[in-house]
Amino acid sequence: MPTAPVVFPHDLYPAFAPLPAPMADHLLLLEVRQYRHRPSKRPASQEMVKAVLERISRARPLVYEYLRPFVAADKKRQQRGESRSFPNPEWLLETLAQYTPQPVRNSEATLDFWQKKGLLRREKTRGLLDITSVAALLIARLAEENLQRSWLPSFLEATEPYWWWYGRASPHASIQAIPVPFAPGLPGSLVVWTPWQGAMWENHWQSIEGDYLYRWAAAPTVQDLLVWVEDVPRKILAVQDDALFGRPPVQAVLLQEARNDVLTHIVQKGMCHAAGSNQ
Amino acid sequence: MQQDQTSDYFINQELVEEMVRLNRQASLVTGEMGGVLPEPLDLARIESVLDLACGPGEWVMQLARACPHVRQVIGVDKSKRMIAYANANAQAEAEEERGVSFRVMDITQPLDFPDASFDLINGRFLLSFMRREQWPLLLSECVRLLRPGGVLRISEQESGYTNDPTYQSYIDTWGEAWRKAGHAFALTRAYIGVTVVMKQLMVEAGLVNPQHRPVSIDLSTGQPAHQALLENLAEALHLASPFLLKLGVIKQQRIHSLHSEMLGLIGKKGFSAYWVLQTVWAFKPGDSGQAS
Repeated sequence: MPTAPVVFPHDLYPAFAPLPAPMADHLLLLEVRQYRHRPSKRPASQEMVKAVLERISRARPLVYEYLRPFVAADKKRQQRGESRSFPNPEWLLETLAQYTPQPVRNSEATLDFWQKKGLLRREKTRGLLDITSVAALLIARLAEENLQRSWLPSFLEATEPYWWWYGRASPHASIQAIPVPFAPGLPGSLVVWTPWQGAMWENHWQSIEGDYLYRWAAAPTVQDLLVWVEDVPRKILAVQDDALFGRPPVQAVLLQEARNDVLTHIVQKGMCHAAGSNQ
Repeated sequence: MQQDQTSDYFINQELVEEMVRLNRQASLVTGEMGGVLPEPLDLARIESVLDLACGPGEWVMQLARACPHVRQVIGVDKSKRMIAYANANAQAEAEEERGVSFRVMDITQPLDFPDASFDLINGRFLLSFMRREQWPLLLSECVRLLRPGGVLRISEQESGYTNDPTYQSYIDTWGEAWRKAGHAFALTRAYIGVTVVMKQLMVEAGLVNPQHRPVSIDLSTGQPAHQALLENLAEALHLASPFLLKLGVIKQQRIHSLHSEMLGLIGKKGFSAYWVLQTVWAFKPGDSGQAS
């Protein structure tokens, strides 16, 4: 009787950030395949999920640490008026070439093929490689330790989320896996977090404490902040009619400060806890 | 993992894991050794510095920060990607403006610099790719590149000691590997011996007034370097699998188990170990400054 395929449970999707779910599931499939000729030795599905997750978690900070100076140097160059040039195809192909059984470098046609199959993204405007997508490829490559040729799934559906964040909309709500890009209609009070430190290269993320980055999913209103805490938003409400503090520009500044304060409070109180899942 | 067959380096340096491991290790070791230049040298006389086999460039960057009067610090390494990584680091931290640069160069070959270019030449952990017979050529090349009164500074490891059988097994494996690879000068696998002969090699190359400074890094449970260093050493074992297997000093299965056992030492009650390193330095004659 055929057995059901082993896949990651939905609530664990943010744990393998910034990988898209099929990429992580494919690593799991490779893990399962190792035991096809010795099924009696095959560990329980949960153990294989744990093993693959551990390998991804080990590879993730390495890839971040490796990418960080290149990204920072590129940002410096952009500040000097030069155009963005990292990550470029040649760099990615050279890096991946170290992980082939034979010292063979793929051509750029491989990257085009991956893009066509949804495995690699480019920025829509300038056609440059997307840094999060590149990071996902590298993490997957490092996490597949046996240097197998078929280390990527054959394709990703066009509708497949790029990656997943943890999210929680109130202290009483459960922690959820939030797809990126966002689906419309998410609550304004939604706080999201991720173990992928490279998210910092995009805007809005804050490193508050622990191994995660945090942000508001959107721009919460005072009412949204009240869902989490009462004191700080109430202070804004209290000065709404004040001649000085009630002026829109001042209110905007106060609101931004409140968003930061509330987010820090939420994290420090452990409401969006580091373990991240409901387990 | 792919191993460059033309390289004598024990790990494929172009791997992401190795670049990050070296960067972490360099930072840890520099701190544990008391800084970039803890020896009693006249730093005011040092204006131009060369770092041999600089890896990701941590020592170069630290030196540029610690000695802002130094007008030129150059790191050289055989690995193109390592140099790209080091250059990116320098660009990201605007260290290029302080005269920091990195170049691809193989230090087992003559180096592409004019005579008397540097006041200080530094090298750390060159053992990992230098065979015994390659040292005289390198040291002669350093003498050529040093200005009169300039200093050559080499820091190398010398195994270590422990009360734990797992860590002892780790030490023995590497001791045997360095001997079989022709890198060690030791008479047994209990030590490596590069620092034992370094003063003599430097004097034979024409340097004078050799001195030494031993350092032992305490990686016992509860010490600051404990976890980070054990993780780093375990990772080195894992990444060096092709090198160790080729030498026949250990079996694949034992690499796996020793790797796990090394990680199992993290936080282990009663675990004690020291990683022993020694810096040896000597001067190029012809100047009444540092060399005297």
